[in-house]
Amino acid sequence: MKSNRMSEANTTVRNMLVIGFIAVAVAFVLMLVRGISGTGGDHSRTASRHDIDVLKKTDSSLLLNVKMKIINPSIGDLSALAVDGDDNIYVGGETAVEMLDINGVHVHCFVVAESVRCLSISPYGEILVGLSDHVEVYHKNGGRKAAWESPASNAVLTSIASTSNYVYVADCMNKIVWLYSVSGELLGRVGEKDADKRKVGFVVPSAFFDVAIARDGSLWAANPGQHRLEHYTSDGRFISYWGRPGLDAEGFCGCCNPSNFALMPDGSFVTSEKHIVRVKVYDSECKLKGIISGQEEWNKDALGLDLAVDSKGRIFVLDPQNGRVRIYSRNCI
Amino acid sequence: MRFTMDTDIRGYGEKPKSRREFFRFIIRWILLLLLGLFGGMAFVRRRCSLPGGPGNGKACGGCPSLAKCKSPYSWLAKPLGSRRTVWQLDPAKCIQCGRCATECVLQPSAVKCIHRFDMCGYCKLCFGYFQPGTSVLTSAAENQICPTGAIRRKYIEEPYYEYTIDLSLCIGCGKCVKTCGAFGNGSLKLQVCHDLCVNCNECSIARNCPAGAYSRVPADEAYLFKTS
Ligand code: SF4
Ligand code: SF4
Ligand code: SF4
Repeated sequence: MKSNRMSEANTTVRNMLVIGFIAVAVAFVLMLVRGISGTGGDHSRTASRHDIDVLKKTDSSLLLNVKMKIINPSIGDLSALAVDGDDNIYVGGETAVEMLDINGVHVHCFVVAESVRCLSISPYGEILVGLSDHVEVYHKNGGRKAAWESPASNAVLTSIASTSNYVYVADCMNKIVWLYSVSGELLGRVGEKDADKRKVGFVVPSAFFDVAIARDGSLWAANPGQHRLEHYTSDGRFISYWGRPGLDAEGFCGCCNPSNFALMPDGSFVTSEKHIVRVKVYDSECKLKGIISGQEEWNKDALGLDLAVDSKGRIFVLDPQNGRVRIYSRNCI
Repeated sequence: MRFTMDTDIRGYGEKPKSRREFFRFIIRWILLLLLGLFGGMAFVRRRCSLPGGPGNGKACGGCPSLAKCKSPYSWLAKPLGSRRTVWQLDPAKCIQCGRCATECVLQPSAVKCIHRFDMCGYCKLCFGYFQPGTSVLTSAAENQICPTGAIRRKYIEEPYYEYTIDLSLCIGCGKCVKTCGAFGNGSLKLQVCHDLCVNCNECSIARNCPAGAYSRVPADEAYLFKTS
């Protein structure tokens, strides 16, 4: 009886020792794992908010009453948007261009050699595709018609606009708009810096530099570092500018904006901005008409909200982070 | 050998009393083996047979590219004691809460603002320099975001300006980093400066960082920058 009790006690002691040993082993392993990952800190505390959120808040009295529709292209990594004369939508993304009708129904898709940086549809219905450093021209059915030579070895193309006579190609690296003939011949440079004439030229701190064509065939180009839109004749002579920096709704916010813009059929302007993500409309006298969409409706870090406008004044906004296109419409726009 | 409930697997003359005790016994031994394995890894200097390592059977730890060793087993091969690490914050995680300025055991803090010139737009209206909403772009103190005047603004040519940080004045508050990231290219970053940091065993900023931005990194790759 006594020896039985002693053996039970021995077993209990041995078990406790083994369990203690295992606990130490587990603690040691945990310490090792923690040491390997090397992360410290109490992460449970919530982050403090800064008044930057207040600065980014949209003034609701300026919001325009618009209807929004979303279409979902099938290609990924969306980076460029264009609309043709028949209101078909074209999106460019990872090595492909997709055409959709106004209801978002897929029409067709074709593959290109690289990631698409910008798109434009010429008055002849050809698709001008800006790849990293050169332009390629495609027929509507996706057949490649031509590949133009790169304008400069370090070119980084960000936007294309075309008329029946010229093609304008914005290059954020060289801070210049390249002027081409429709057949791809390089004719000149628009908006070049000229220190002698105290011309600052385009100031492009980041890879957003947009161009668009007015109804009369003249050229509008963003000067994002100067927070302006600049107006040029079709052959590239400077006419005027408008725009100012500012975090208020009327101004263009941050270091370089507007990042993208488009012209409405009535001559008014649609602009999109980064940093404070917002899409705004200015009338043809360059006065703010209102805000279509404010920061609250976008991802915090939304970028590259490419814009297009169709013949009926509907506004198309690329939403690359969510892989879709938003269509805003309202009669009063 | 086939184990049965009656097999004397402990080897000291005692038979397991039940199936439960048998499993408990097996688990105990597995855990002890694991302890041995991890303990061994921590203290035994393994011989390198990895391409790119010393490759001649030298003890791991003498290799100059130890920190960059790409072998999937490199963490096993590296004796933990031989890998010198330092504290660093990841700018991609940092939310500029201000604790880097106040929680460091050093005052002013070992955390400073570092300027990535390759990401900078050299803007006339720099949001890392000017208070948001400043209309007159002069260097008046009330226009500047930096509480200590640590950012120097130098005219280059119209409309470009260069911004440099006077590290002796910077307290690592992150105010400029926050506004540069919110409204600019995000070229200003906070980093622990290792000519100042005393490499506390447990970094007191790391303990209080709400973003979990701190980790130990290899001493030969002591600076982390988000590049996009
Ligand atoms: S404590 Fe963390 S979140 Fe706060 S400023 Fe430092 S690294 Fe950034
Ligand atoms: S604002 Fe703060 S982090 Fe930036 S330079 Fe001044 S003291 Fe340093
Ligand atoms: S390790 Fe110590 S000295 Fe270095 S940053 Fe952290 S608290 Fe400051």
